[in-house]
Amino acid sequence: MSDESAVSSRTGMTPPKVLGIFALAMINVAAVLSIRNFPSMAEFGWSCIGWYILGTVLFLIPLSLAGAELATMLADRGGGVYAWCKEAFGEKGGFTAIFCEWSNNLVWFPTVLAFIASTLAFALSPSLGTNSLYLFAVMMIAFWGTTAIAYFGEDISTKFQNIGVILGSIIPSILIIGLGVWWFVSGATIVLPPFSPGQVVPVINMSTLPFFATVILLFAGMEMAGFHALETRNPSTDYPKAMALSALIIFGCTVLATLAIAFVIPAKDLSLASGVMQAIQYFFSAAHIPGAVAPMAVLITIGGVVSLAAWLIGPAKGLGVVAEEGNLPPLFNRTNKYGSPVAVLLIQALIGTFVSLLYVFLPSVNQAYWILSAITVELLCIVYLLVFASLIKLRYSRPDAPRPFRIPGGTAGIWIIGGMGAAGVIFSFIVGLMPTGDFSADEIIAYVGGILIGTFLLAVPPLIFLKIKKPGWIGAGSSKEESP
Amino acid sequence: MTRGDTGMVAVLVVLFMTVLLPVGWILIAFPAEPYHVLSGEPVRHAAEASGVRLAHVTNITWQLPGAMGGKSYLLEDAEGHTLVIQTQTFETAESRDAAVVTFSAQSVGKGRTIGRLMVIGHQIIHIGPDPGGIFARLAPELRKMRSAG
Repeated sequence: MSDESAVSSRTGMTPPKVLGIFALAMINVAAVLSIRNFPSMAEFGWSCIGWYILGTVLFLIPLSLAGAELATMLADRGGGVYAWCKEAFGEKGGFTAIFCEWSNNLVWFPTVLAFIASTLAFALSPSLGTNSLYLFAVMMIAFWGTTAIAYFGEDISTKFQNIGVILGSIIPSILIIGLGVWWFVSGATIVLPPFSPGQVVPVINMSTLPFFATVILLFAGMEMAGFHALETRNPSTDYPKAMALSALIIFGCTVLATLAIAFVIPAKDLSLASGVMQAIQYFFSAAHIPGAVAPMAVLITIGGVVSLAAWLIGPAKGLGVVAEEGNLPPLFNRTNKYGSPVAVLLIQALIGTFVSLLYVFLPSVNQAYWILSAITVELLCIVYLLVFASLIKLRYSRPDAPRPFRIPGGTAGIWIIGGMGAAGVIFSFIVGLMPTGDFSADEIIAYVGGILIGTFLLAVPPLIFLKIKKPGWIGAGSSKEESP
Repeated sequence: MTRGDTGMVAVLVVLFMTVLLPVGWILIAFPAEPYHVLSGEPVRHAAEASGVRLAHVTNITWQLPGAMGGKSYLLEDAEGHTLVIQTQTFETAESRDAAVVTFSAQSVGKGRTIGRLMVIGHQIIHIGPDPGGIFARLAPELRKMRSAG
C-alpha cells in the first residue's frame, strides 16, 4: 500500500476525480501565463523571440517533459513535487522541495497582490494607486477571497480557475494578438526595424546575465498541475496531453502578444517603471480604442487573481500531504469535508497577510524588494534542481517502474533533458547572487548574505521538523474535521 | 493550555520567525532612501563624469499619481551600445514609495523585474535593459549622490 493510500484509508478521504485534460492544462496556464510579462519583454524587440526560445529550451520543455514523466509514473501519489522528489531522495528531499515551493510564495505573494491592487486601481481611479489603505484592502480581499475559494475544494477552485484563466489571461492575450495582426495588415507603421534573423539572437554577456537568469524561470509553474494528480480522471494519459496543451498555449500567447506590443509601441515609450497598464493604455490608444483600457485592466486583474490562486492552492495541497503523512506537527493536519488542507491554507494566509502589511506600509525599500525577489528565485531554483535530479535518479533507482509517458532517448535523453534543466536552474541560482550596479561595495556583503541567509531560513524547516518528528503525528489532527 | 497546545504555538511562532527574520533583517539592512529635493540632473552628471555620451534627451511624465516629470536619456558608449534611463521626480515621499511598489510588482513571472530602479532623494531613476554594461560606468557617481543625501 502506498503512503498516500494509507493516508486515505486513515482519513477516510478519497479525492473526487474531477480534472480532465483541459482543467489540468488551465491550472498550468493560470500559474505561468501573465500579461504583465509582455510589455517588459517587448522592450527587447525582435530579440525577445530569441530570449523566449532560450527559456523554452532550457526550462519550459525540460520541466514539461519531467513533469509528464514523473506525474504519470507516480500517478497514485498526491503532493506533486513532494511525491516526485520523495520517491527519488526520501522524505528529506521531498519535504525540502515542497517546502521551498511553499515558502517562496510567502515572500512572493505581496508582489502579485500589489500587482492586482495597482491594476484594479487603474480601472477605478489611478490616484488610488498611492493610497496604502486601498492597496492593502484590495490585496487582502484578493488573498483571503482566493483562500476561501481554495477552502471549498477542488471542484469549486477548478471552475474558478478555468473561467478566470480564460477571462484574465487567454482573452486579453488574444485581444492583444488580434490588434497586433490588425495593426500589421492595416499598413500602420511597425516600430520594430525590418526583420532579419540576426536580430533574433539575444545578446548574452555579463550585463545581461541577470536577465538571462530571469528568462530561464519565466515559465516557472509548469509543475503546478502535478499537485492535482489524485483528482485527475486518467492521469497516465491526461497529464502528458495537458502538459503539451498548456505549453503550447503559454508559448504561443506569450511570443505573439509580446511581438504585437513591440510592433506598436516604441521601446523608448515603454515606460515600464510606471507599470504594465501604461503600456496597455498606449497600445489601445494607438489602436484608437481607448475605451477598452479599463475593461482590460479588470481582465488583467482577474488574470492576476487566478495566477495567485494557482500558486496558493497547489503548494498548499502538497504541504497538506506532508502533514497527512505525519511529517508536520498535527496542527498542520486539518483537512475539511471538501478535502482542502485548511490548516495549511490558514497559516499561509496569516503569514502572507503579515508580510503584505510590511510590504505596503513600510517606506520605500527599493533594494530590499530586489533582495526578496532574489530569495524567491533562489528557493524556486532549489525546487527545480530537486525535480530534475529526481527525474534522472529515478531512471537508475527504479528503471522498471511503469512510465506511461517516458522521455524518449533512453539514458542519453534523460541526461540531456534533466541535465539541461538542472544546468539552467544552477546557473540562475548563481546569477541570483550577483548584485546589481546600485549596490555599493559595502552593501554587497549584506546583499549576498541576506539572500543566502534568507534562502537558508526559508528552506531549512523541513529538516528541523523531520528531526523532531513524533510517531503520534501520523494521522493526528485530521479527525477533528468532518469527513464526507 | 495543555503541553501539546503550547508546543503547537511554539511551532507557529518558529514558522513565523522563519519568514519574518530574513524579511525583517533585509528591511533593516536596506532602509528607505530619505526623501529630499535633489537639484540638477544626476544622470546627466554621472554620464558626463564617466565619459558616456548622451545621445538624446526628452522630457517625460510617468502616468503615476504624484509624478512631476523627468527626463528620458538615451546613452551611447563608444562601441555603439545604448541604454535608456528614465528619471522622475515625485511630489511626496508617499507617491515616490507607491511608485516603487508599483514597479516592484511588475516582475517577470516569479523572477525579477526587467530593468532596475534607483532612488535618490525625490527622484526615481529607472535603468532599462543594458546589454552594453553602460550603467556599471555611471553607477559609482550615482551611488555617491545617493550617499551624499
